Amino acid sequence: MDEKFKIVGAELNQTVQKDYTDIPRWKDILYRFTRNKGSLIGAIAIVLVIAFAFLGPLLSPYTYDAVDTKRQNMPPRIPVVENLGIFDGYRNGVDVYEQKDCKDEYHYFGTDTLGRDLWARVCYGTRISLYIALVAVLIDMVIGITYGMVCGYFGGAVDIILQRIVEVINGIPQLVVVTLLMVILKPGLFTITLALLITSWIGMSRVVRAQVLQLKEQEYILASRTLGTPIPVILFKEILPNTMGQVIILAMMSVPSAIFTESFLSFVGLGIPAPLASLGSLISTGFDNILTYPYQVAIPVVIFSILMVSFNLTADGLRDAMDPRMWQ
Amino acid sequence: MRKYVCKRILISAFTLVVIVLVMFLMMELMPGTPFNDEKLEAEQIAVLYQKYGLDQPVLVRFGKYLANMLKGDFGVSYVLAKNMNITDLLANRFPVSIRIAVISMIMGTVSGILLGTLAAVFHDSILDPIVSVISMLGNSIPSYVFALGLMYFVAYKAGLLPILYSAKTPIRSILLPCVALSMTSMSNIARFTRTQMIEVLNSDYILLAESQGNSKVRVIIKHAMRNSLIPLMTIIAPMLVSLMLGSTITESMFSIPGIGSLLIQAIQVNDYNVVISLAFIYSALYIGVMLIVDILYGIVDPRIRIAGKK
Repeated sequence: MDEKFKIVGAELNQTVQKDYTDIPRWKDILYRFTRNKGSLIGAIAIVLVIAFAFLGPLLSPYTYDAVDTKRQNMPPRIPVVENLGIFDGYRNGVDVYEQKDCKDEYHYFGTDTLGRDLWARVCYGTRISLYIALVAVLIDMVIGITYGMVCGYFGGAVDIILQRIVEVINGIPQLVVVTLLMVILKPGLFTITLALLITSWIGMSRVVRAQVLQLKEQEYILASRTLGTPIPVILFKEILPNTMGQVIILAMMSVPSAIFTESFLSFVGLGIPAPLASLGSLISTGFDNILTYPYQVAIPVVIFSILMVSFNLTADGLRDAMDPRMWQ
Repeated sequence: MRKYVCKRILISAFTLVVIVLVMFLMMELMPGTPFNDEKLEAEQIAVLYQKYGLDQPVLVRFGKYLANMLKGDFGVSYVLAKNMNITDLLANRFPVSIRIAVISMIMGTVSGILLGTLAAVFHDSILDPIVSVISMLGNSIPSYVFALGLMYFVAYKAGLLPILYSAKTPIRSILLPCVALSMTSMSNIARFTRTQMIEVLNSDYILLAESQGNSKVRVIIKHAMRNSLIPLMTIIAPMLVSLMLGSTITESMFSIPGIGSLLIQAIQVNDYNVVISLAFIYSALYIGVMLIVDILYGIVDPRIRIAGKK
């Protein structure tokens, strides 16, 4: 018996409040979230990356778009760390900073082929990726939820027509839609946003629709309708809060795929135009010199991977914390 | 069952036609002409338009285009390979992409099942968290990042395998891209297998099989694996398609002459006939695979069939 039944997710000697009223749900979720090592690491990493993106440029005197032909392909050099033998400005045993006679300069992440400071470029690139993450979440929240709720609540002909539209959009692989769109329009931040606008809300609308289909049959909705509550109030005040858990998780999960889409577009050459940079475009230009100057691609790749992993970890952690069925 | 299959086929066909229409209209709205040459005068462009049938009304062109598409005749490439039939262009490149997709799928499936089973069987040991971390990383990091790493460390630093594709050593030179591409499917399959296996291993019939004196290995391979791997079918097929699509960047990194790198080239030189054909092929593959999966799943799991009848 002991093997089959053990206590999960709580301590044995925990005192339980008789009516459970003084533990709000969010505290409960927060407690589970912080007990999960993975999600905690993910959340901290996200905060660190955000801090890097916005505070980073303050730490370095260089701007992201200043071309300096005398300082091309400088290896990374960071004060203090340089004494440890890494990030010390040496390439193949030669101190490039001494060679170029600029011993008092520090390019933390080195410079690219045009002599632009990579630290500043990576900071700005991360901002673009974070902006795209934010856009993806907003689109999911606004369009996905509204569409799903309209489909689920009204049902009938409205649902059938709207679902066919979703099916068609879903039938085209996302990358194809995005690529076709970018070919027609001018590459840039606006177009990437538009591409996300078309494709990224489908999953959310489906989940919300399924949830609404279940919830609208319940007695409290019937009661509310009998009392003459307007439909928007029913939808947003009475149904939506009950779907929030799923919605938050899905929104978090849409972030990595949006960031990936942007990096794909940049790689194809349909992304952010120069001199602006995104993590994707930095990786794609750095890749051209991977064999001679590997740091030019390695640094953006590392930041990019951290971003992807930490959003995934946080989303997983949130799901586990919010869904009681996952407590295993 | 037949009614359900018919309905699914109809929906898929309709979706495909709508997709072709959307693609066609999108391409109509594209700026610039396919003949981006400043030396051409208006009259010459008019002649070219006539030659390629671009002067006819949109609807006529769409009708012709759709009919041709379904016949497998994708027209000619305007820019990438002058006047070459796209069908011929694809004929050389398609097998390369298919080979890569299949090899990496096999790699991913085998290693994924192995990792997932190990994690489930040794549920309480250190192995389980290790597999979790691996599948977490493989799932969230795009395959081209792995391709970058493998290219630099294995191919360049260690010099074990060729950096770029060469037709002389087709297997050796696609090994690295295949490993990189298999990471995503490996992680997904490992995670999926683990969940399924844990469920099956806790069931009564496994207890019975063990109590009959079968060895642990035999129980896992003969009794547990069979049941836990049936649902795997539903995730493997869509994965194969997304693998082909996701391989675009990796293909062009290793300069593999597949359809992925063709797509990127076509986008960069504005060759819209090629782009639209590839988009059509990708979508058709995707829809076709989804259709097959749905039907197969209907055969395996009767509950879906009944829900479809309603």
